[in-house]
Amino acid sequence: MNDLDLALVTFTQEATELMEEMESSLLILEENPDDFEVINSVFRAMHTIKGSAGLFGFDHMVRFAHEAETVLDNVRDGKRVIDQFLISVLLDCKDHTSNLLEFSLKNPEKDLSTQLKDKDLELITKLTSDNSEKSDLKSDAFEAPHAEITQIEKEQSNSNWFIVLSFHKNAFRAGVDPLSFIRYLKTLGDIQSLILISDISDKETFDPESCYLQYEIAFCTDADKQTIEDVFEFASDDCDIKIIPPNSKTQDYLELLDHIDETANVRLGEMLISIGCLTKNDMVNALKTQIASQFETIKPIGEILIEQKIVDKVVVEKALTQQKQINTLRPNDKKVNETKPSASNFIRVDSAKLGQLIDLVGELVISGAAMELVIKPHAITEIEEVSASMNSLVSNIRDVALQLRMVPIGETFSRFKRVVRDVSLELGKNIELKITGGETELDKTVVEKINDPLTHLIRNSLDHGIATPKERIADGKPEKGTIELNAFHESGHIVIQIIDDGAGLDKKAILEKAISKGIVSEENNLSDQEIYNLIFAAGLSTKQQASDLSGRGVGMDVVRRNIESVRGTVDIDSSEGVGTTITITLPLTLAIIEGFMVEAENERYIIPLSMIEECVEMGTDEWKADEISNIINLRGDPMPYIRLAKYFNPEIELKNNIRQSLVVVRFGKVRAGFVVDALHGEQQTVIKPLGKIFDNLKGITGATVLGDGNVALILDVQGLISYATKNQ
Amino acid sequence: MLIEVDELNINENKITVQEEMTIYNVLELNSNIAPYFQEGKNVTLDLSNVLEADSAGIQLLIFLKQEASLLNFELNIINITPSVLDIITLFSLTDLFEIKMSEGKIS
Repeated sequence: MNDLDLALVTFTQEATELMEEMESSLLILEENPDDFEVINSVFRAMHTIKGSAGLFGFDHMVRFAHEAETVLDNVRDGKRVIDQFLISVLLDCKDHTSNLLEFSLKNPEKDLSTQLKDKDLELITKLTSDNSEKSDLKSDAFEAPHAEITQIEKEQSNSNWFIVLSFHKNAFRAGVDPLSFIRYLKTLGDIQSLILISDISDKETFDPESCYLQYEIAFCTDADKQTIEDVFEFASDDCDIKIIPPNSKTQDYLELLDHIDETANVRLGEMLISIGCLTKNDMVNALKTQIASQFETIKPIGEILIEQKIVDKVVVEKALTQQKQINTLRPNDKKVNETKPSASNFIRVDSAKLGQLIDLVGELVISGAAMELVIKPHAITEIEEVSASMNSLVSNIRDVALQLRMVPIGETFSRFKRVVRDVSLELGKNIELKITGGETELDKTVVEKINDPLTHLIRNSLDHGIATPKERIADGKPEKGTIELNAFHESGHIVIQIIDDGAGLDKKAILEKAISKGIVSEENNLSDQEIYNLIFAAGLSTKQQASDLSGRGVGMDVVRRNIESVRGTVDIDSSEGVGTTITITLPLTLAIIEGFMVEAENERYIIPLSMIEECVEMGTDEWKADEISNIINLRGDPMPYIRLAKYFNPEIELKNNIRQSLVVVRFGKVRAGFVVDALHGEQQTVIKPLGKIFDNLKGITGATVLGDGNVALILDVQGLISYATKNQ
Repeated sequence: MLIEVDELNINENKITVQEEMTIYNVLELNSNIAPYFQEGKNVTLDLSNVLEADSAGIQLLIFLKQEASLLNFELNIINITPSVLDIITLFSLTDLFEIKMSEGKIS
């Protein structure tokens, strides 16, 4: 990959993230249309996408993003009202931009396909359709009434920013056209006067391709300094920019300083930035000056700022007094402030590299175990000590390495907001999505695998679960339906629940359908739970008519298969008229587990430690073992058990005289016991998947290599428990 | 051709710019026009075919104007198209170019 390709990858990732951010912002706006910050963030997303797409010559994207940006800018300036319609259009715009990006990546040189072109046109028309009515405010300054009002406002406010732009000689060649920036600036406010200074020396040295222009602009706007500076963001390399706030702002800044949050940072520059009288760039430049002048006496940053006429002296003085006050008020808290995590402390890492790291850590765990095995017979205390401390380090490394791949599930969850919104609009339902436990973390690969099943389950709840507002009112429920998405940890697993307050599952309909499809026979006496779980069987849909969303009966079995492929389970519980709860249980990670090694008939097995409740001696009469139905009485509770050796080799002759142990395992609410010959203790286990030919093997999820080079099988506890329960 | 030159009379040349005035052609444009900038011979610059300009183009106009006054002759810029006029107005250069409003609003 060359540099450009790399940049392209970064751009793609960034653009995707920006668009996701934009989507969630838009959804927030839907509930809270006046939130200026959110409007800003939508605008910024589009603006940045436009800018970076331009760098790669994705003209289609630039053109489209520009249209969207213009509309958003009008919204920002209050020239256009953001309403349901506009939000829908903007959401479509986001989708379209994604499509454009994909298209541009695949066919960098080609024209748009007709389909995309049509969509392009359609959206642009939609975007601008509303404009005709409200935008005359902005475009025709000559029209009498508006012009007068602005004139008066201008005189009253006298709040002109003074902007000095000196473009570098190379600006034109770098593709920077001052014209476009000034045109763009005009969209933020009114240019009161503009003085163009051209510094063309004489005929001999004049080069028409060099830029000799300087602008001094008096600018009237409500925007803050950062916004103005952002206008020139793309020119900042080829232009010296000085933005001097209007006099009237000084008063504002002083007032803002009075009310500055006392928990805020106590550095002068940060204070000034926080009240908006200084932009980050100003600060960087001032700091550079400070560093450059280190051979002379170092000036305080405040003085430099005053000298450069960036900040008024009064403001700096005020800020300094405020700073002192805060410092005396909270001397101890200073440290806390400094350790605040900064949002930009992330680096992008190729996930393949992380995978590699985790693989290596896995090997390290294995060879650590091997070393322990080798040194044990020698019983040398010093070596054992070293080995013990190394082992604990290795297990720390393992935890940290696994942590690297953990991502909070919230991001996935919030994507469903859009799904719920779109689908409920489409179906004419009023549905709210409640999310809890979004901070719960799990392995990225697991997150990716469950995205589809989750989407499917949620669509199902939307379509089948929650009824139309009318029906709901008739049932005496609130008009607005709710779907809850919960995530939480439970004994080494992640549990995700989808709870709706809809109509619940229709037991009779499911059973009838299942019988007619021949999935179960009439004589089967099924429990409620079993009936509910029938919806995960292939080819079963009770909905009379298949809709776009669901009802073809192909989805639910795929959902189950997908979840099971990451060693998870899905369960469904429902009560008619009250709602349905779908519970998905997933392992925390796919790579390494804390295991417990047992032995039966000279074969070693690993049981995930988190699932083990206790180990007891098997041989005693206390448990009143029933050898025929395989049930024991564990302190009053009946519990099924399996003899592992017998399970994996039914023909084997069990010797009765060995002292056996019973490992009690639990999955969810169900318990079972495994009878084994020996307990070997805890073992860090690197899961190696079994080959394809073992796909149909029941009771085993994988294997691991032990320190001595032997292979131990990892038990599928959940599968074994359900086997034991069935064979009572 | 980038420009077309008509000798109106012994004291005046008319130069018609045939293309847009942007960063892509300012260099060539300048070298094409330069020979006609001589002391004592007025130039009328016809911009009727210039449908587009950027800052570099405007800068060239400023330079030409400056040269003309240095060499002591008159440079009249005529037939400015709306899009170029727009830029000139934005850059507050109407006075420098002695723009005469064609619709006769301002003489």
